[in-house]
Amino acid sequence: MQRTANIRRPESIDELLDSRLIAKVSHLDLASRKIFAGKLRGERRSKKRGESVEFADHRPYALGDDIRHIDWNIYARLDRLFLKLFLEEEDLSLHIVLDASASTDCGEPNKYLFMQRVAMTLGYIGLVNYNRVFATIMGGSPREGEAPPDEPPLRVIRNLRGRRRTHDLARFLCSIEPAGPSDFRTHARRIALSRTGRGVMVVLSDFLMKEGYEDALRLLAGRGYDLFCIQVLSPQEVEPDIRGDLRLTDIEDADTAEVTISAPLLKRYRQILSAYTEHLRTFCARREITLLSVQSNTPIETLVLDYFRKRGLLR
Amino acid sequence: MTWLTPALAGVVAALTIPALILLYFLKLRRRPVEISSTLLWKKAVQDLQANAPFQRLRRNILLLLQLLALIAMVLALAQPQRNDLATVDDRHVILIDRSASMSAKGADGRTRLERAKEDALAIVDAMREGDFFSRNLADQRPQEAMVIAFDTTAEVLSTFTSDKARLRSAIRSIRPSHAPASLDAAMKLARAHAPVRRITDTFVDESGNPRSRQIESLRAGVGTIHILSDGRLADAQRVLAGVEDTLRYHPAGDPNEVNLGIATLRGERAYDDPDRLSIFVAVESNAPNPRSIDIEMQIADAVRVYPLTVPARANDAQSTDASQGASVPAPPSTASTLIELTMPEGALVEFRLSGEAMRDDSLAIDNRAWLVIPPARHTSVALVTAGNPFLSDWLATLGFDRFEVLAPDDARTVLDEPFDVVILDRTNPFDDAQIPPGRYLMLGVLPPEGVSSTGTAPNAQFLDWSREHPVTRDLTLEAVQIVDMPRLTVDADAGVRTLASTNAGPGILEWTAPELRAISVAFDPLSSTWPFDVSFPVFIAGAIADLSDDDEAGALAQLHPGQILDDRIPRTAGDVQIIAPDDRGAPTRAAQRLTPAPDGRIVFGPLDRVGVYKLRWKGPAGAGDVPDADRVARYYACNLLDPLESDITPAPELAIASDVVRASARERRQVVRRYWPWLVLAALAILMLEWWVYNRKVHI
Repeated sequence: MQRTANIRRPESIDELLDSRLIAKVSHLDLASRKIFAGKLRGERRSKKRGESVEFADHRPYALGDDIRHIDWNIYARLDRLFLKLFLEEEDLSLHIVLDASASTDCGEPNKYLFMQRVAMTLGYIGLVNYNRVFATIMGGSPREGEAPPDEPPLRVIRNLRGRRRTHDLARFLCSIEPAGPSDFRTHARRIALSRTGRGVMVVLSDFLMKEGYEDALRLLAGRGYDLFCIQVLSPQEVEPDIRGDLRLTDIEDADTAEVTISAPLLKRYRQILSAYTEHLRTFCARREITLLSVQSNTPIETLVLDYFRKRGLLR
Repeated sequence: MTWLTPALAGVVAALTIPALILLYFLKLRRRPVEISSTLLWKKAVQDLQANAPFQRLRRNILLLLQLLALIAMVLALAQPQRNDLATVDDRHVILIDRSASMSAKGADGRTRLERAKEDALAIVDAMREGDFFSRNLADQRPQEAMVIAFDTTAEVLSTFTSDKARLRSAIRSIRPSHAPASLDAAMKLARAHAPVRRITDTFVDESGNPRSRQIESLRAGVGTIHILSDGRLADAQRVLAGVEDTLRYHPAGDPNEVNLGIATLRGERAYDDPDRLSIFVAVESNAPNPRSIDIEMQIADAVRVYPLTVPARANDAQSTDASQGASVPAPPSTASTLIELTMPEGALVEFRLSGEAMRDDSLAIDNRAWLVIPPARHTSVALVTAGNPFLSDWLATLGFDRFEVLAPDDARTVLDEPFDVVILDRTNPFDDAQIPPGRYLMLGVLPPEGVSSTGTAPNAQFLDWSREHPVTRDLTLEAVQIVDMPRLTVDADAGVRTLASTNAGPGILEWTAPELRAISVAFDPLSSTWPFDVSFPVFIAGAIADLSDDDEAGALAQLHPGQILDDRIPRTAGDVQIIAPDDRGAPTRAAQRLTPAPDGRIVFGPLDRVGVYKLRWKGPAGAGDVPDADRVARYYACNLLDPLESDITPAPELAIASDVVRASARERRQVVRRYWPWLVLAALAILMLEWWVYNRKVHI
């Protein structure tokens, strides 16, 4: 709940992804409910017919079709115009959205560090499997010594593909440290507008947003992504360990609340937290968004190897 | 309800209550904590506030409770106390009668003294108490009390103090006595403790400067005097209460209590036959019905019983003393009997009242009485005369066991033998200062000391004589004419006192010296008309009887409780001990040592128990003393024999000289209650409640 004391920011991929975990996750691949199931390395058959080497079907020519796709051999034989239809070859894109608002820089263990690791793990899996990997960090500020990225506050890295790019992804994830508000809605609109491909989008956040998460999620869900939301809460947020007469200051907007911690208040807090999470869950379920609520002390292995597979993010 | 320290509490309240309210208006200093989001907390707090009833009240309930606790503590500081309204004076004197009649047992088996002590404890309980703080802070001083127990004498058991524990222990320490009561002594003692009033006098001295000085004035009032008694106080009429004093009479005892007691007991040997003994016993009863009782007389181991019927007390209708307005209970009835015995030897006789009719007798002290009977005394008389046939012949007819007429020259040698009485008839065979111990009747001979003669009067007549002295009380001396009356001046300090005086000075003298007693006729009877008067033989016989009886005066005379045993024993006696009786008249085990004065005088007392006191010593025995192992013993009987104490009907009111004090109604005394501990407890309880509320509530 409180700002993590003595946080050590990760510097390189080794601190985000240890080799033991690499060994365990290297056989995993991303899955999407919206994509055909199939075991093709590096590429996927799309439901959509389009331009590819793999023939799918013919259909009669209709006015306005691209004449480049007319099957001239059929025309020669049958004297009728048919279009050749191919299965479009689409590579799956993985878009990782990371909330770097100041509120994520809290908890023991640190929520942001946890989210960085999850993002790195997923990104690694995506890269290794030749998926197109995008990463967006909402909010935050560049770390000292890092070159200022293109257009703050939206920091994006695009079109990573292949194992070689893992270091690029890691460097990107390490370059930003949490600060300020996330402004989820603005970021969501930009992501939605700069459509870069269909695929899986993973939003990592604590979803504790005063302005609300609903509009943003609506924008993201509407763009055809297979959307996964991972709500990361620190154990201290679930079971507050603060006592006494306190003036609580919001780390993001300096809003204050004076409380005297008492048993009924804690009870009430827990009720409200669970109601909040439940509301998020209901909201996501209605829009086919998969929600996963985890605490920042959950081992990454368990999360990746167990939770994600059960929820269909990985296979 | 009074407040002992309201000023202090007011000051504290004026300081603390505004301070508390001020503190309450100061904001609670909260620890700042940075958290990830206040979103959920704000919601929780809002929800909780919306849910809690009495929001407005809850916000202030802590202040309210703290104020309540503070007020309770401030009230405790003021020390509220409930006081008895009946006791307003700052000083109280508690006079507790412990006399014989206070030992009367009521129907519940408790004595009047026990009940009086309870009343006294109730008075003490009702006293206003002091406070923690110094007198300067306290607005009301604690009440003080003094405890005096009295019978014949009065004793201060506790001087003025507000220490209730001390007063209670003083009251509880009072033991019943068998002595009759004297309110006068107690009142005098109480008034002696009245504070002296000091007056500051401002005056101008010689040099014109104003000065002031303190003058001790008369004693102020002593306060409220509580008399806890049954009202059987013989000298109440002599008691004068102070103007500023309030007298309260708390009667003890039930008017229906019945007592039969020996009121009079007297034993006498016949003058002409000392072997014949007559004992007169009178029994007094305040019972409303006639009672037939037995008088048991025990001599050694033999018991004789004499039945006696005591009539009922006169009708209950109370006679009224018109002058005082005091109603006096009817006097008790009496019955008496005369017991005649022939008993030459000495004896210790015990009398007891017994029988069925004594069953509801309340007072046991007067049911027993003792009489010490000395052996029959046979008087020996010597007449030293140069020749007086008239006197010697007449004395010879009086039937003394031994009568000798001695010439003055023989007297010096012969008188070494003990004669009871030696009559010196106009001659003194001894050197003036060396009259040997004994009893003397001196006719025309002056005591060698304490008297000085300044010539003679030619003619004299008796003017006055003592009506109390046994020798002169029965005489009629007006007719006696005296020729050649010596003019005398008497020195009372030398042991000489005048029994009869003439117009020329003392006529008959009594001279007392160690182991010597003499009655002296200052003039020569033969130069007066006295020998021809009938009063002369009466005087001679009476004087001889008185002088010869003198030896046994201590033995036959009865002592009463409250009196002092004062007697002479032989000068050479050593290891003198006295054994006092216990509460039931039986001798106590422990003997008390007495140290006699050089002239053999012993003093013991005041006697507080009825019974037989046994005095014993090693050495020679006096007349009437009995051997007791290797010692000599002398017995003294101490009997109540007080009709006033035996009449135990309690007096409903106390008539003293200045006033009639009616019995205080048996009011329920309010025990002093201090409320501050309860207030402190309440404050504690409120604080605990406040703590609980504080922990329950959420406060923004």
